Amino acid sequence: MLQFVFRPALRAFRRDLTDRSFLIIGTAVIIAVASVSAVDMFTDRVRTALVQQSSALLAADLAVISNDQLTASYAQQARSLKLKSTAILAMRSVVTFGEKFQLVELKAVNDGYPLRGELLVADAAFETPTRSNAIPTPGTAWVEARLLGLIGAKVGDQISIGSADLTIAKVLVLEPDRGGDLFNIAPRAMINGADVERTALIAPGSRVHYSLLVAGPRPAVEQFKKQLNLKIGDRILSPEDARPEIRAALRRAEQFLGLATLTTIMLAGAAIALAARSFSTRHRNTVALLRTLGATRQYVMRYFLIEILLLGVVTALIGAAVGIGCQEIIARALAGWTQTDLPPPAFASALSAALRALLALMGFALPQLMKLREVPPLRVLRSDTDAMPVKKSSVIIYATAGILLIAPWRDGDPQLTLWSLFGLLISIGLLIVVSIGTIKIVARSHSQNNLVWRFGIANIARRGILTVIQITALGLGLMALLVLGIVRNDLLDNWSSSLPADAPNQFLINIQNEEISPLRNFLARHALSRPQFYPMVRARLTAINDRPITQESYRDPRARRLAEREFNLSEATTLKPRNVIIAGEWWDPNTSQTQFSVEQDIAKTLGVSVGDSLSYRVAEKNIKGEVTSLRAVQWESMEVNFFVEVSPVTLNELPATYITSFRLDPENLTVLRELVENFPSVTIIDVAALIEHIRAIMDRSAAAIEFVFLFTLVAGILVLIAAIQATQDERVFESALLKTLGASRALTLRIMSAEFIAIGFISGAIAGGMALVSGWFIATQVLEISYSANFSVIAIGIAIGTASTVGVGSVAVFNALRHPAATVLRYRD
Amino acid sequence: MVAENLSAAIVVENMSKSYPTTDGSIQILDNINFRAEQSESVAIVGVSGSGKSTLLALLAGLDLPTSGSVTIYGTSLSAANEDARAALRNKYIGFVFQQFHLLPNLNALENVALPLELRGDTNANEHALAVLEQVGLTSRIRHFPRQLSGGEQQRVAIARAYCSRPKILFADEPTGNLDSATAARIIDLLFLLNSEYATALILVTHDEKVAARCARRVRLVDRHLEAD
Repeated sequence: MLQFVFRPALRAFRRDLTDRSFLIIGTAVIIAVASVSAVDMFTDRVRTALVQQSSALLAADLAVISNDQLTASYAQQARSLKLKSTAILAMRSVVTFGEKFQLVELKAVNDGYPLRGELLVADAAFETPTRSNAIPTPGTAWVEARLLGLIGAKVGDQISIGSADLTIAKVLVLEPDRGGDLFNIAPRAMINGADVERTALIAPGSRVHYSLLVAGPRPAVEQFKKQLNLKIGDRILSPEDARPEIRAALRRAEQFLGLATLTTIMLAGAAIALAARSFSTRHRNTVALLRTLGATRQYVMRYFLIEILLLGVVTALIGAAVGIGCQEIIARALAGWTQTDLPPPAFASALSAALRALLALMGFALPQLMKLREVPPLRVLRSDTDAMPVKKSSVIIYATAGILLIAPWRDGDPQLTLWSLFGLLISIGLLIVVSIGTIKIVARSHSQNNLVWRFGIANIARRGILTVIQITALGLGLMALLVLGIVRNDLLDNWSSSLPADAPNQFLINIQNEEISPLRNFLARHALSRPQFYPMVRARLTAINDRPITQESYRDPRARRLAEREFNLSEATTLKPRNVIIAGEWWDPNTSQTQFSVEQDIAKTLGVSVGDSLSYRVAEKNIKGEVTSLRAVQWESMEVNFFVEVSPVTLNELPATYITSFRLDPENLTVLRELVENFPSVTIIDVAALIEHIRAIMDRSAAAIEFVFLFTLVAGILVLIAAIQATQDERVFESALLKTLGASRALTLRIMSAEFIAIGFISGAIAGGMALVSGWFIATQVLEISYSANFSVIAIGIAIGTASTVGVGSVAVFNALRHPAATVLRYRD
Repeated sequence: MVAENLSAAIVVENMSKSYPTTDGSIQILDNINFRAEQSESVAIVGVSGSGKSTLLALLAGLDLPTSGSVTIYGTSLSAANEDARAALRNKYIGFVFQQFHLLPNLNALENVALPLELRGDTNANEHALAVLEQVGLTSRIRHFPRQLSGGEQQRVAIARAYCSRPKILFADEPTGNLDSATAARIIDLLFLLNSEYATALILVTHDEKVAARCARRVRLVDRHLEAD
């Protein structure tokens, strides 16, 4: 039977390519697939690049770390899998230079280091760094510039580490696996692994961190990870966490891209559902005839299913090709988003998007096709006979299934997708209710108006359900465009203001209380900003709700690390700028109780919520208090921020140092040298490169967002066209009728325009109002950015709604008016 | 009697049709008895609104009677489901409508071949070509309905009706949308093919002159069928 149906269905597919509703369905599929696959592929590429970049932060694809000497079997296993590996060792030690001593983070490396990322070295402090492919030769050490400042040495001097004498050969500018908290570490000294024995630093009981770095093709690394038979105490580090600042910026970009894609899909879905309705309406007579001539219902169903599937396959493939092209355009335009080159796109995700779109298409089109199957053959003789209307519940179920199938679950967070779906259903419900209400009001109040308005407005009330469908669809399209327009602007504005051009790029830490004033003077002398100084003490979290905390209390690797390390606690009277309380309340500045305010992500990782008590050990003292608030922190602002802040007075009499930040232009870098000379104990952390990186991500995300927004825009316009199209045939027929009854072409156009204006106005007003509410919700609740209501959105909604309905609608009516009325009337469906 | 009914093209017994409305049901046809033999031509005449089209729909199995039965070559339509009736129409019945009812997206040849295609006939196009030749439209086979005149469209419709070699042809006001000269030519064609293919022709019309060309006439008056 299939072959009997296939040929006619193929023919119908070819011939229907000029049918407007058929074209709308096809275009909607192309847009949905292109948008989903472009965003899917692009974010996938960025994510993979970030993993690679994170590998650089680990200097490897994987590291096995331990506090004991690692067994040789790990390295053997890596070799057997043809993976590169190298061992490193790190410990705290003291460097001696003449009379000066300085605590350093000593690192001994072996050939091959780093397996990922690169080493930057300079010949002297604060000179232009170059890339190094080697490691320190035996007998030499590479040290950080700030160590030179602290001990007063220079390149070429000899220092002692343990019992070994070593010559400073280079200044170490950057090592990929510097990692950890920028503000927590002593200056670095790097030596060759062969010199470790000579230092005689390793004795029983000394705290040494051993690592085996491993790198190679992903499957082999995975295999290595799986086969590894870890000894107790040894663990694996994976390159999972990029810096929180970069993660935050990227997460927002991904969230917005996900939201824009989802909106595009919903709009495309709405366009498909509307166009499928028009398509099925137009094909009722075909079905009636086919059934009269002997086609069974099954034949009819297969006939249209194959036709729609053919359309789906062709357009989904076109969409996938467009998507592949677009992601390449985005990727090229945004080259440099990540520090490494973007990996090649995974074309499979374009095919997967195409496949999902096909299923989704069925979800939107199936209820209408099922209705078509039921058109009675009697319709050939009596045109008023028709199939039973499609059940609204089945339309909703199929459409929801369609959206769920193609929704970008993988990229965005599922919660966002679910919320958006929920929001969509609420919006549709509201649009329906409001449009029914408006029609009722309009129907009662039309009698006083003039002829044009009376006819036009009477039409709105008379069309009933069709008007409701049209207002709902138009409203939905307009609302999505307005929401995305508002949120997009807010997001981009918020971004550019969160990282102002003068964002601080130098951090100073380890400032003693008595150094604050001279430091302030120093900065003022160099015409640098007058920064704020924040106290901080190093504290170890010992208990939550009196339950002692150890590494073993957590399974999550990040939580385990946090439980192990020391926190910087800072005292604060008021909430810092760009910090938002998301639970609890900020304390009274005059409180005498110890209270904590915890950053939301770290609170989640550690399982801390408002009302919990935290105990910290600071020097020899314990402090305990209640968590009274959780904060969202805009890390990408690069301001000084702390994971945990405590209420004032708590840190009095504790050994606090201070931290500050300021902006230094690249041409003034010599100031740093002077600063090191004048304040040798103060540590400078230069984050200029990091800031540039974040700024690049923001700028490029903004460009990607603008690009993806184009898809949404086209989908929105498509819904508008489909919505107007839904009642087009009826209007064309009516204009012909009016013409027959003696109405001039101009009068007929005016009557139709009155209806369009009214529909556009109502849809635009409702959409504008709802866009304000949804924009507020998405901005504040999803993207966590500030939101200021802009009521001109309602006016914009009305303007776009009216202009588009009048524009698109009048063209069609105008075209219809060119044909003789008799032709239109005779061939009425 | 049973054997006679089996050989008859259509047998209608005690058939009534009413439609439910908000004010109770409306009786359209009442206790109709009718019979048409193989290759017989019967005109059903009656004024506008007398129920001619309803009767045609019931005879062709496009609708079901409220009571009574319709039998086509021994198969009861009332007992068959929607799809079985469709199969029966495909096998025995051809249609010519007042509105032509050609599919706008198919050209003349494809429209004519359609019933055979539905049957799965792989030589549908050859058969269709032959019939199109008979109705004099060989030069117009690739034209779409919108490119054809009313008379040409009706000739395509006639070709489509005869292409599947039906045993019964139902024609519903086949000249209603045509000018009188074209109408006359269409009627000539209809009767020519009817005699050539030995088809039972059931012609619904309000045109007495057209009706007069049929071997037998029945009249629908006041919900009942009367012999003329």
